[in-house]
Amino acid sequence: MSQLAEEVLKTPVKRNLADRINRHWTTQELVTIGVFASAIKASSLLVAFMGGGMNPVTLMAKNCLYTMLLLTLLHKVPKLGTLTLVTMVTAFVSILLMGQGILHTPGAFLACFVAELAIWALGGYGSTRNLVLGVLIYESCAKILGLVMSYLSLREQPAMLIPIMIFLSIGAMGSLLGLYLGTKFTRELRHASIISN
Amino acid sequence: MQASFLTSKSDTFAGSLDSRLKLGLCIAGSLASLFLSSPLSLGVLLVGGFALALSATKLKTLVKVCAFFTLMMSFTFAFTALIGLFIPDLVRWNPLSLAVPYMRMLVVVFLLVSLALSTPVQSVNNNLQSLKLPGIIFIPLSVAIRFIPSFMNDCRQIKDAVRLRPHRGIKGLWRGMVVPLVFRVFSSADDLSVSAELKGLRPGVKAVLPKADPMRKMDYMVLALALLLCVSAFSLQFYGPEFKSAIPSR
Repeated sequence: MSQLAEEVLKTPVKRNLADRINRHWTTQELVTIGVFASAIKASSLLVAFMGGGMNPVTLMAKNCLYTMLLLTLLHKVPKLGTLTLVTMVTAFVSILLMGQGILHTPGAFLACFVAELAIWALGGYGSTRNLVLGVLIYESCAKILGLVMSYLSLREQPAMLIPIMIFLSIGAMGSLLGLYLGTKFTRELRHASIISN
Repeated sequence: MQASFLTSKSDTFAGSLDSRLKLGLCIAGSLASLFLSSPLSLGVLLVGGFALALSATKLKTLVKVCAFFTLMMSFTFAFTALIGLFIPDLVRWNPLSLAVPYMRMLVVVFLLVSLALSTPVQSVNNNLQSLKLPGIIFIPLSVAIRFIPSFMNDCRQIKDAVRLRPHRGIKGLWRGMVVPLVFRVFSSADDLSVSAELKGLRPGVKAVLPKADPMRKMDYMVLALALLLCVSAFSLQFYGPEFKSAIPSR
């Protein structure tokens, strides 16, 4: 090998931030995130249509499916920023599907930031425990911030928040069930070698 | 080709407007309605939203939407009175303050109706592409928008399969519906990622983008009108007549 080629190989490659971000994810991971975001939104919508918006059983089922799919996705793409990216895509799809995404999107992003920070502080995306805790923190933060946003839009009548709080607690129970089922499900997926880590 | 993937629905006035403008109006309207609390200022936004929604759909549809909201509001009145009977300190009885949350919701609903009924998905997708979003945002976003109809088809197929070999109970629902759906999602993700890579779609690789349609004179006029309505709504909020926010029930 010539001296010039050796020098070129030894020179460290300088990469800017955009380049680093682009190299952080592969196309397969980005497509998986998109497909899961779409599945999360469409399944929530289907469950809501099947049972009506105010049905506690379907409300629980909707939250259960949401957290289960989110946990499965985080196991499939265990990288910093996956949660934020999937929230961003879900928010956009919900805006297009006439959801109430516009008002709740800032809160969801804040919840994402807190959850990603918590996962990073706990030791990263490597272990199931960290991912479960991350999704739990994300769900709790999103629900609390959703309640704050509801208070902002219903501040003239605080009594109207009582039914919202009841329905939020039912949803939270569904989320906890989703975390339990998601953990069991990812174990099976790992046995089937669909999830590698 | 699915109807939702057609690129133009310009047979109505709202349909001929730029989809970026409509998306922007939706976001601005939702944020403005969140900050405003005066019925007069919200009324101004409501008139603007109603006019835009009327240009996208029939009056009958909007009357139905308004009737639904009036029904919901009457339920609120009834239940507030019921709560007031048991916990009088909690309820601040004022019809205007009860109507304000519904006015906020109606503003957002009117704007979303105008966006959803007059903008095809493909048009929004094209505009997103022309906004030169980074690949890490654009790839999952376009996949998500395109995947929804396929996912619905998958759901239908799995539902038919369940009918052929019925599973009973919650365990049956889990094994017959949820598990096959997740497996289907994984397999679709693999297929789509292979085809994306074959097409050369990668984060960081600049794709050849379609030229964005420039905004027309009519779009700028609507934008100016929307700005005017926003300014007048905020002026009414801060300088307009004050409304007593609430009266205790006793």
